[in-house]
Amino acid sequence: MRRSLKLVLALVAVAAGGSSAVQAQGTTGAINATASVVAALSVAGTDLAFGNISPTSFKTVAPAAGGTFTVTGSASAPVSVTFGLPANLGNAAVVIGSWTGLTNTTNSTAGAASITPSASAQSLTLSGTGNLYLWVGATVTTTAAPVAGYTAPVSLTVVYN
Amino acid sequence: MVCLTSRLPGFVVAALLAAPAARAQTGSFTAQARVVSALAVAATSDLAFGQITPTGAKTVAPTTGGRFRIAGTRGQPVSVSFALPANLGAPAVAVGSWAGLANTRNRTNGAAAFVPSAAPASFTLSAGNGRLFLWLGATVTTTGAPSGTYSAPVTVTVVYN
Repeated sequence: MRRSLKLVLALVAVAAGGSSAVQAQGTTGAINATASVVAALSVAGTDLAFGNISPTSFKTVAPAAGGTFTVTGSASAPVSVTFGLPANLGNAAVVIGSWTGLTNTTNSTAGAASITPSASAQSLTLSGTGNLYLWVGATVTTTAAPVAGYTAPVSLTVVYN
Repeated sequence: MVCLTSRLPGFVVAALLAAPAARAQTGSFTAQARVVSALAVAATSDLAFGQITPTGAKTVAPTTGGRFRIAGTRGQPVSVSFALPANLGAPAVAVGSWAGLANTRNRTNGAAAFVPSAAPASFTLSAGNGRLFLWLGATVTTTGAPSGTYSAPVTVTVVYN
């Protein structure tokens, strides 16, 4: 009787132990997620001024004489720039387009590289002192526009790559 | 005898009482296992967010993110699970919104989207060469983070199903 009892208890114990889940050892690999926090970017601008224009006419301002953006950030950092460009100056009779641009890491249009401002991101690089300069020109076209002053914002968005 | 069996569960008592009168019966099943080639996981590219401002957000898509290459037995199903960091070593540099792509070919074109997580997900190794490729993207969000370089491991574990 004692032997039978031990046998039964042993079977019960095996049955209980057998309920644990099957486990397998996994193979692992690891990469690193990395990021560098650097100085905040800042953007300052001056206006693109067309001056006076007749009700039906057009006028072009070259980038060298146009609006400017000054970007500051981390030294030698690559950035993406995108423009928010208006289609008119607040009135459909005062259309703006044919955007042109220049960019340089020094505050001079001499030797600056040409760019075409657009809503598509373009990659540029800040100078060794963390500066980038952009100049923007365009053409405004009036079609029987009422006499008045017109304005619209031109925006530049800069992010680190 | 009476005292002893009264303390045992009913099915044990039944087994004890029935055993002497029953003819021995045997049954069997087959324990099966197939040993296949070991899985290998290669971390082929880090998930690099590049530079980011102290307060900002930046998303890297899986197609340009971290990469893993898994090699094993052709056509075998595997379970893949990830250990994903909540930040890159500082609470001010949080990482989340994980996104992934998987393909049996080393290209993201035609890859299947999945959400990386700690819960195992099933994939099947290439029937041709036993490969599986994974791409990971995520969003890093900084909140007043001090300037510096931040990093955290992203681990994938792979087991045969």
